Amino acid sequence: MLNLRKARRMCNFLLETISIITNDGRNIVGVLKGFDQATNIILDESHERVYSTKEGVQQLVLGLYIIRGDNISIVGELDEELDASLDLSKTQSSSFEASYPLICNCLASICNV
Amino acid sequence: MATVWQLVELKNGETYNGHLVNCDTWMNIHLREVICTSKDGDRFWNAGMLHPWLLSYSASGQWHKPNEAPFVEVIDKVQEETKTRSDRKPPGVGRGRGRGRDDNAAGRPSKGIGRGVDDGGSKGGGRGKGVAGSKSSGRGTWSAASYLISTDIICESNFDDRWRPWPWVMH
Repeated sequence: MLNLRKARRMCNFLLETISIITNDGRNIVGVLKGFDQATNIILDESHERVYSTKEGVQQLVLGLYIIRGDNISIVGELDEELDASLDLSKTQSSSFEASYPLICNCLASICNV
Repeated sequence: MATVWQLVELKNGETYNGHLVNCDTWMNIHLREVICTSKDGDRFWNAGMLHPWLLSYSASGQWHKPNEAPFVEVIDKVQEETKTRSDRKPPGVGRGRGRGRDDNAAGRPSKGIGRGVDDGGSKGGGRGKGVAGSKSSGRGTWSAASYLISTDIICESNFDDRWRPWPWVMH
């Protein structure tokens, strides 16, 4: 659940491009259209970025998307200038799934502060 | 009937494509003319199994999926459920939540989830047209329904005609 303080921060993301990492390590990027107290999120013009170590980042178009809050791990604002300067087709990375336990532990310690 | 063509992805990786009939504030969803796509869309597609799947609500208060049931039995269950729909109470969120978490813990951390599921979505779309065709060719007036419990849902997406040409546009 979002408390008031977190909700206020989320308001800053409204109509901005955000990047979401889900519980199973998927990365979805889109424009935040709405959210609620359960962190259900509505994304517009969204796409998923599929990372692999063998080829560049693939971007799958998803369109309008609702993500249920209990699957969301991380929500972050995307710096569009920085993002545009990246050449994703030449970027290679292992997926988040590989490093997911580590990320989870770090987040747990950070977010509870 | 002007209903939205909707994709719903569950926590166990399955994808349901169908016409959205109704949903409530818990995000429980009622779909019509549903095509279920298994976690790895390929296997389901190659098997050529072209029947709608049903999520039903058992007396014990658990949602379960009679996936071993033959086609005829499934259809019987659908009709039975349609009859009793009016007197059935909406699913309790507490019970659903418990099951959803179980699914998450057991089934989710496996390989290649992201891509596999999206492939599944595209296959499901193709099959949707197939089902509509077989319905008009003398199958009768069956209509399959699925009730998706909210806590099993990962995400939803509706497709307008921009997204209809499968597979997805890759950039």
